[in-house]
Amino acid sequence: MNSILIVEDEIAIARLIEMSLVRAGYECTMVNDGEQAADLIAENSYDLVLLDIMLPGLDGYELLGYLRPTGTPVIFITAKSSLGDRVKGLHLGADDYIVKPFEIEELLARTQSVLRRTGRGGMTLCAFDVCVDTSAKTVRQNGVSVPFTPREFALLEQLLRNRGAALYRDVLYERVWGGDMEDTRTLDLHINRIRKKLFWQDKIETVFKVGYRLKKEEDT
Amino acid sequence: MRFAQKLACVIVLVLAAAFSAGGSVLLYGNFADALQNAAQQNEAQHALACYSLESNMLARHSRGDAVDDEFLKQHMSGTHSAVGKHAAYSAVYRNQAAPETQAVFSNLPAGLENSVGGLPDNQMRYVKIDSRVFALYQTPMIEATGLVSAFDVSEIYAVRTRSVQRFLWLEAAVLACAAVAAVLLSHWLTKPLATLTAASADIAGGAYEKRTCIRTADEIGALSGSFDAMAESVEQTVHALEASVQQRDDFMGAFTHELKTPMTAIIGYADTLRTMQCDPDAQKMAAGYIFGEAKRVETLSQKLLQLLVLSEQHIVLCPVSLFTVLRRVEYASKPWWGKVTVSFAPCAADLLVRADADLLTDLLYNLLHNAVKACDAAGAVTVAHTQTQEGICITVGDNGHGIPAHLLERVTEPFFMVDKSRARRSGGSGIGLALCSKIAALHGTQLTIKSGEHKGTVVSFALQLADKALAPHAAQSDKTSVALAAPRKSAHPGSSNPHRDRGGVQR
Repeated sequence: MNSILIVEDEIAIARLIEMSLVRAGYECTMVNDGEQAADLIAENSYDLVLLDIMLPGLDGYELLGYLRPTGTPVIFITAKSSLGDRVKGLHLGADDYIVKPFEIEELLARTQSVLRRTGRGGMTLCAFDVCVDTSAKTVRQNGVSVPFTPREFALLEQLLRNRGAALYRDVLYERVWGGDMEDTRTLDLHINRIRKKLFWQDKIETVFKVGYRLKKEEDT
Repeated sequence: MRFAQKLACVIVLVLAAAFSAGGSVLLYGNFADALQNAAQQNEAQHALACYSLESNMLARHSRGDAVDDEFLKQHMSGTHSAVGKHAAYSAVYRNQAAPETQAVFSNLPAGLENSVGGLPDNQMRYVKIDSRVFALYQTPMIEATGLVSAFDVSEIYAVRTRSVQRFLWLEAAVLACAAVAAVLLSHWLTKPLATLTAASADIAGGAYEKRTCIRTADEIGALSGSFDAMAESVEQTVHALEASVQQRDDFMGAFTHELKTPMTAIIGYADTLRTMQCDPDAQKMAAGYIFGEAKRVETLSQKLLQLLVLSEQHIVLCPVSLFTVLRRVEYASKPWWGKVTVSFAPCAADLLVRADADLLTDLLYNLLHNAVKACDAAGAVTVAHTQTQEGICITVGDNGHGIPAHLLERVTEPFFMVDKSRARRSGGSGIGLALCSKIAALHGTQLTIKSGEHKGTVVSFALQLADKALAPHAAQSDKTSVALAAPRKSAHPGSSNPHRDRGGVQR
């Protein structure tokens, strides 16, 4: 489990990021001003820091200066979208740059890719006896490889990333296939195939009028 | 060709022409004088020779002797030796009609005899033989004889040639010196032009601070002066333009930032809600943030709209009862005073100021809102007014957090917030004071902000007193303005809850 520090002075956004990352299986610490963030950085070590640039106290660029020597990867989260700002951020050594307004999916994808790039994990998602390597796109059950089609894999990844939450059918379809859902059969069919392949008939729950939910360990 | 070169060429040409013309006239004059002097002398000598020959011939006649060739030869040789120092030559002829064949005596240089024929009587002419020039005189004498005298004037011509040569050398030397002088002079004269050219090229290239700095009392000095003045005004204009562009960019940057932050939250929470079935607490939180952030965007857009409208508005100031305005502000703001003590100084009901009633209300409402927000629970806010020589000075003071000195001049910038997180908590967008200062400017005054960190803030502005005689129905007109103003209050500035405030105003 990767620990991530969120430095963002907008509480609404900070909590949104925290909520999303926790659901995706990360351990998060949230802080709302630059000086507190500097203290936390000095005391603890994190796998990734999500950093807003405009902060009360110390700004994001200054904090980046503290973080560089520790080698902690940094993603800037900012409303400054000009090319100059991006280049400045990346030049200073940020690993990625997310511009507000961003979508949660984008945040998760970038978080994962930065963690993977810096060799801090983020490539395997595990549930029960199944481990999924998101970069090699392979699924192993008890160490044995299980063949998955790309769509099935994407669907499984969505379930794993939002484990414990009941996901709406149309959004699942939109994320895996793209576009609006025309018939529910395609999605249901894929879910059933995953259930069969992994013997997860009871692990992937059908939620009435909503969609599907992958159970957490403690639910079973 | 450069101007300096042209100038130098023209100077040298004019000088050469003038010098040559002058020299020629001088040389020709000298030559003509010398020639004339020689001619007079020669003529006199010729006349003397004629006279001497004639008197000898007459004397011989009177003695009865014949004037024969021998006599003539003898006479001529004698005379010649006597006047020989004049380097003169002479000849005596018998036959007038064909003198060249009838020479009795001649010591004329070779070749000159041929020129003798056809010479008009008593007239002089110049004959050039080889490189020598002779002046020839011919006079008919008695006994059908004729005397020819020739004088060598080559020397005069040689002198002329030498003079011309000397003059040419002199002219060449003088012109060379003049050319050098002209080049230097023209270079010196056109140097300021080069400076001007360089300066204008630099300015065209973007170095607007460039000046020529040529300080002379002539036309070039004047040109440079006006050029510098032009550059100065161009520089100022460019800087003003840059500043306004910068201001606009800052405004746009701040605006986008202000807009993007709530947008991110709204999109994010909405996305979460539509993706999965969250537990009721998370759902409530997400919905709460969506509502709150959307409200923020709404407030922001209302205030921005008002700011834009105010920028293009021309208001008419009319007598307004300060008492009525203060009452309206008090009613409208009371709901959000909370635990902060707000006190209004007593105001005479007939105190009239020149203002726009609605805008003045907005201004005071916003200032009061800021003051209350700056205070903690135990804070106190005072709205007071004092009469001064110019009119009336209204102050809104609090004992709240105050503004750090280095941020004081930025507080009226749109979107500027001294303490962003505190401003956010109380629903501020950073436009309130920008609006206030705009309203103050429309009233021909400006906000004076005195503040110290943790010492509170006092904002004051001046208004002109209105002549009571001009507004005999002041009380009545105020009522109308309240009634007219009410619908506009839907876009009330500084309100965290416009609906509630509207009720306050209408009361």
